[in-house]
Amino acid sequence: MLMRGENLRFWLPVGLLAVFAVYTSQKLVRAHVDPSVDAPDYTFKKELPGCRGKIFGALGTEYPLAKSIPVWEYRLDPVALTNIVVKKKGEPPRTRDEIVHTIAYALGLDFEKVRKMALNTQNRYQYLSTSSDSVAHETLRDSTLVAGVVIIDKQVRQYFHGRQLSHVLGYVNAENQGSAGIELRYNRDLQGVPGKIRGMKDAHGHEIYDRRIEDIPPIPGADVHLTIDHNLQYEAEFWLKQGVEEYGAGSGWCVVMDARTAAVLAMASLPDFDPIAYGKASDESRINRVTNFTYEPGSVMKVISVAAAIDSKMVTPGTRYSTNRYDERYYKLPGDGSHVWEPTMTVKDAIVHSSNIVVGKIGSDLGPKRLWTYMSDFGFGKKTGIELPGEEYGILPDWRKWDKVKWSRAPIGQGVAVTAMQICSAYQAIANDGVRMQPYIVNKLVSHDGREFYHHVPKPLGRPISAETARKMREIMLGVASPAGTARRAAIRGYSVAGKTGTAQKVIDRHYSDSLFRATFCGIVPASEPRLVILVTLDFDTKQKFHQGGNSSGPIFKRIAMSSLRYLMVPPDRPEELEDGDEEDEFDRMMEERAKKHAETAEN
Amino acid sequence: MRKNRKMSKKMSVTVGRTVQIGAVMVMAFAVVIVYMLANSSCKHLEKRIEEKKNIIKALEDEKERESGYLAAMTTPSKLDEALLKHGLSMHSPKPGIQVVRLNSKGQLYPAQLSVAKAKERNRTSDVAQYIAPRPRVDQALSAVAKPRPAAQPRQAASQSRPAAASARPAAAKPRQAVAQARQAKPAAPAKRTAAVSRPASTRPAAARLSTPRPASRAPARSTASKSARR
Repeated sequence: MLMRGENLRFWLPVGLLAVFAVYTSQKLVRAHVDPSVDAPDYTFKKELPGCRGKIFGALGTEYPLAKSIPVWEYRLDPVALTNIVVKKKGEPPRTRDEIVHTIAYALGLDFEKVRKMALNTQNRYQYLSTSSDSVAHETLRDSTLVAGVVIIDKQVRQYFHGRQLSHVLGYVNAENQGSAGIELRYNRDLQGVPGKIRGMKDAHGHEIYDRRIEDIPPIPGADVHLTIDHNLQYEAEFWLKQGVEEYGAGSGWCVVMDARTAAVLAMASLPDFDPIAYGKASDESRINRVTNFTYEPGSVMKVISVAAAIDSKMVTPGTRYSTNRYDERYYKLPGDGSHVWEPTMTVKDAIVHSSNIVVGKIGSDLGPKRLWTYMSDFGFGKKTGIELPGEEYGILPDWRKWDKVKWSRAPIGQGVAVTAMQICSAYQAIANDGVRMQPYIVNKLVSHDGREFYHHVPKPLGRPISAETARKMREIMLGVASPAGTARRAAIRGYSVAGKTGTAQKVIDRHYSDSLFRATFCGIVPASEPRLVILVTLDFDTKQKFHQGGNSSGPIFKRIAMSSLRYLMVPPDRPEELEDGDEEDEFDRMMEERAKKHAETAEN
Repeated sequence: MRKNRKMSKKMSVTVGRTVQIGAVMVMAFAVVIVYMLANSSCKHLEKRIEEKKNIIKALEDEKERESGYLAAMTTPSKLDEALLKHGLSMHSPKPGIQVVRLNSKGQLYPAQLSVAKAKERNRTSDVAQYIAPRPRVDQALSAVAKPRPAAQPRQAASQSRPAAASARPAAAKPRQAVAQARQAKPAAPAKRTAAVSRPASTRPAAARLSTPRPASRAPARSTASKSARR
C-alpha cells in the first residue's frame, strides 16, 4: 500500500507524462490529418527561364546580331550589411565603410552614393548595378570581403550593332518578351520553354538533392537567321545618315533588296533608337518607315503607269505625246516643271524627264480600271507579306471610286499611298523580268538542337508584266541616270543604273506644300543583269535647296550602290567606263570622307 | 546437485540467446553503418555532381559573355574605329578584281567559285561548265582583264602603271604600309595611297585571300576587302 507522499511521487510524473503524450499525440494527429496546421514547408519550386534564341544575319553564326547574355544583378541589403560580421581569419572585422568601398570599387560606382544607400536601413534590396564582369562577381560573392549584397542571375538582351537595325530587330521588354520587330514577330520561337524544379530543402534552405520531385530542364529558344548582311547594312545606314545630315532632311529610309529573290539585304530607317534604352526613344523614332509608314510616292509611280501602258500594248517607248497641258481630250491634267521644252515627247522621254503631263495623259488613256489592276498586281494596296510586324497596306482606292482628276493623278503618284517596301517590291518585279517575288527578311529558323524547322523558299507572287515589257522598262529607266535624265548624280561608272526619281509634295493641312517634299530614288543595278534594287527616300521637314529625288536621294543611292556592288563583287557591266580610273578615285574620295567623319566622331 | 544442473542448463540457454540477439544487433548495426556510409557517399557524389554542373554552367555563361564581347568588337563600325586608331582605312576591292574569300576554317565561300576560281582555270576544267551559261559575266570580266599585261610579273606591271602602283603599295606590302601609317599622324585617316590592305596577322576569321595563279597567266591582285574583316 502506497503512502500519501509515495502516491504523489508516483502519480505526478505519470500524469505529466500522460499530458505530454496526449499533447504530442494530438499534435501528431493534427499534423497528419488536418491540413490547416502551419507546419514549416520544406518544399520549394523554382522556374528556370529558357534562354532566348539568337538572331543572326546572312553571314552565319559567327556574327550574331542579337543574343542574350547571362549577367548578374546586384542589390544592396543595408540590414544584412550592418548585422553580419565580415572578417578574414586572423584579421579584425571589416568596417562598414571598408565593405562599401569594396562594393563601389568592384561595380565602378560612386563611394558616397553606395554609402548613402548602406545607411538607409529602411529600404532593403536597393538596386546597385547589373554587370557581366566575372571579377566583380567573384569579389562580391566572397563572404570574407562583403556582406549584404544580393546577387540575382539574369539574362539581358544584347544588340551588338547598337542603333543599327533597331527597327528590324526590335527589342525585348523587362519581362524578356519581344516588343517590336523580329523580336516581337518571332517571340514564340525565340523565347523557348521554361523549365521547372520542385523538391525539398533542409532547415538551412539548401536543396536536398535526393528529394527532388520534379526536374524539367528549360528548352532554349530557336535561332532566327535573317537575310540581312550586316556589312551592307552598315554601308546603307552610314550613307543614309550622312545624306540625311548633308541634305537637311528630317528623316530618311532605304532598302537594299536582292533583285532575283526579293531577299532584303539591308533596311534602314532614320531616326533610329537604342534598343537597350527603348523606353527613352520617342514614338517617332520607333517607327519603321520602310514597312509601317505610308506616303504618296510621287513620280516613282510613273514607271508603274508606263509599264502598264506598254504591257497592255497601248503605247511603245517611242510613242509621242503632246506636252500641252490644256488638251481638250483630257480633264485637268497636272502641271509640269520647267523641264518640258518640247511640244511633243516620247514615252521614254516622259520617264527620263519625269513629265507629269505625258504620264497623266497615258494614265487617262489607260483608264482607271486597267491602271488599278496593274497597280494592284504590282502589290500596291496590300501587304507585301514581309515578316515584320505592323506592316501597312497602303491606300489604293477602288477604281470605281476614282474621279476624273484621279485618272491623271494616280499615274504620277498622287492620291495613292504606298510603303517603301511596296515600291521596292514593284521595282523588283521589273528587275526580275516581270516576276514579282515575295519580299522576305527571315531566311530560316533553327531549333536549339540544330534542327532547321523553317526555311524560306523564294516565292513568286505573280507576273504583273511580261518579261519583254520589263526589259523595255529597264531600257527606258536607264535614261534617268544618264546626263540627260533627272538623276544624273545617281549614275555609277562601270555599271548601268535603271531607276526613277520621285519628288512628292507633302500634304500639309489638306493641301500640297510647295516647300516640303519627300524625295525618292529607286534604282536597279546593274540594269543589264539586275542584282540589287535599292530605294532611298528623304523626308524634308523644312525647305531645302536640294529637295529633288535626283539631287538628294540619287547621290545617296549611288554611294550605297557603289559600296554594295564592290562588297558583293558584282562584275561591272560597262567595264569600258572604268578605263580612266575615275570610279576608283570617286570611291576612294567617298571612303576618305567617311574616314574623316569617323575620326571626327572619335575625337568628339 | 540437481539444483546446480538446472542452473547450468538455464545459463546455457541464456547464453545462446544472448549470442543470437547480439549477432542480430551487430548485423543490424553493420547494415545501418553500411547504409549510412553508402548514403553519405551518395550525398557526397550528388554534391560533387551539382558542383560540376554549376561549374559547367558558369563556364558556358562565361563563354556566352566572351563571345558577346567578341561580337561587339567585330562590328563594322568598331573595326573601322580600330583601324582608324592606327591611321588605316580599308574598303572593298575595285570592281573586277579577283578575290577569293575564305572562312575561318580556310574553306571557300561557295558563291564565289564561279567567278574567281573558274576564271583562273579558264574553261579547261570541269568548273567552267558552271559559268558557261553567263556570257555577260564572262564578257565583263574579260573586258576588265584586258588592259592588264598577261605575263608580266607584278612589279613590272606596277612600273608600267606608275599611278596605279603608287595608289596601292600596301596591297603588295601590307606590313610596310602599317609601319608607314603608324609613323604618320595618329588617329588621322590614312590617304588612299597609304593602306588598302591589312597585315595577315591582324586578319579576322573570315579572310579574303588572293588565289595563287600560275606564272603564265595574269597576276592575281590580292586585296583585303571590307567583308573580310566583318
